[in-house]
Amino acid sequence: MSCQQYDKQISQYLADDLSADQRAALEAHVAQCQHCQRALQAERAIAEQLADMPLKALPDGYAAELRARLVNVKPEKPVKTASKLFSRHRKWLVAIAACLIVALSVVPLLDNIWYETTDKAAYEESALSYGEGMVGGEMSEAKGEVSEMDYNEEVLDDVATVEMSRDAAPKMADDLQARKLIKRGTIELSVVDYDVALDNINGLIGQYSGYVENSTVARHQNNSNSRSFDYRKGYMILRIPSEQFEVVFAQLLKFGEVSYQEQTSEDLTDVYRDTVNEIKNLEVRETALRKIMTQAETVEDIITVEAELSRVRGQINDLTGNLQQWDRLIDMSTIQLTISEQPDAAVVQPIDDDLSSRARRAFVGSLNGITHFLENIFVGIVGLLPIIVPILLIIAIVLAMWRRKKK
Amino acid sequence: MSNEKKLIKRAKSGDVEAFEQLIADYQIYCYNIALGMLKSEEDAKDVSQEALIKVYQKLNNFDEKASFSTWLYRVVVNSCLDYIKRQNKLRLVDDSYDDALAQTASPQGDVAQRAIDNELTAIVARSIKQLSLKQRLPIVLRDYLGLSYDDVAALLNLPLGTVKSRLLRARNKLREIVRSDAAFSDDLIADKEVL
Repeated sequence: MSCQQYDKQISQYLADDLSADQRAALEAHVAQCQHCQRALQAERAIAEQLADMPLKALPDGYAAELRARLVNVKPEKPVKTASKLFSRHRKWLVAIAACLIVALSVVPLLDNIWYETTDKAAYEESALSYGEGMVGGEMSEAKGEVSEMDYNEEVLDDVATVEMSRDAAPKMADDLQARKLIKRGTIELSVVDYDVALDNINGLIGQYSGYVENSTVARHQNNSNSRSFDYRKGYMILRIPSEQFEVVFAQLLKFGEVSYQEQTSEDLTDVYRDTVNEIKNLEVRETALRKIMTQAETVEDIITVEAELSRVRGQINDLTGNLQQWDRLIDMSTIQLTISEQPDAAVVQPIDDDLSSRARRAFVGSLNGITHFLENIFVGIVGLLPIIVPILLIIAIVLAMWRRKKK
Repeated sequence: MSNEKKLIKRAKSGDVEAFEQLIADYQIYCYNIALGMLKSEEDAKDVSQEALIKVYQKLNNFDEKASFSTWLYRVVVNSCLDYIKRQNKLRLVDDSYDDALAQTASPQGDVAQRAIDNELTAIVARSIKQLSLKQRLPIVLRDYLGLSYDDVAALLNLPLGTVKSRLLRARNKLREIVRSDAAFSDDLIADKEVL
């Protein structure tokens, strides 16, 4: 190594930042190099000078002046940033998150298990005994504590599910012997005479015990092909008994020229069964709650149980409403029918469809296309202004900050 | 709870006396840090006081797990940097600081040695002000005020390795400047041990 390289290591040597090998090599070199000896002495002298210099004393009146300024200010309230809140309550937040994840994972599993439960007696006994105990003492103690109330709900769920599995299941099996299908159809017909077609449709519906749920008709004017004429267009929603759906659908197709037809069926068997089960669960829970209510002693108990009863009854009503609506749709299938009246006169073709007129139409078409294109661009730009303006502002601010920093 | 923590707690509630006790041992360092970074004693006094007031105001945001002194010194350094930016006074010390350093030479020892030390001190003081702020600051904090490497790294918000490499370059540069000073001669360091 050269003197220059050893020279650079001198301050490290004095700060004891060299490895043993480097230290030994430097010492060996300095021992025989006068130049590096002087450098080492200078470095040592400077370090000693700096270290030995006493601190510069505070100016006279420093403390008094500071105090005069301090009494005029107050410590500010702590700033609770999201990150500080997180770091302060990290353990709790992690615990809550973990509980939520576990709950979300376990609830569906429990749901499946409950459906498979057959041991009614054990559940019923334990649940009812818990319910009795709860009303007497624990419930009043646990007033307002979510965890306790949740646990009670779980127990009641158990009771309800077991009740359902024994009593409700056979009836439900009867209900669900047939598949729960909602049948829907769509037909678009062109007819020569609207009134005749309407009579035919009404006759057909009456024959098969159906009814018209909705019917609208509108008169339109056709100005195409240089010929103007009026025509009617009707829209009907027909409700037909499900077992007659296919027959009626096929008959309707014969009443005019079909431009569009579609049949769909939605299978609600599973969701229907689940809803029936849920209602029965809720009904059993409602019964259990009513039992608890008769044993409630304090006003707080009564209020709590009543609130839960009200919630359960509300759920039952909602789900029953769904079932009734589905029943209506399943019993009576739906056909959406659109009827367009066609003019009986022949369509007259234009007679001047020569080269120049076609060229004129093409020219006008192009102009309209360009205009339409420009309009779309304008609308697009105006529509994007709420996004573009903030982006431009942010870019301008960043550029300004960058320029200032560069300066 | 340590005495410092008790004082911090009292100061947080607006107890000025507790705050004064808290900073009693640190304010001279604050002043000297400012003196090492700014142009004049007057500036150093104003900015260090401003920093101490800022510390008092923001005390409720101080994380008590951290070192109070490091936080305090960092506020002082940042206040000085802000002041320098505002004033655009990118220089270390003026003559008053030069004099201040010169006056701090050791009063002990015989007359000849004191004369040598005074001469060396003056040269070192002159040389320091030729360093850039980037080189000067670690030297003031570490070699003059005697803060630990960790404290310097913490209050400059730099990795320890960066602080050490900056110090190495700054010391080499300072030695180079000192030895090139017209008043410097090998006689001034002749009594220093070599190894």
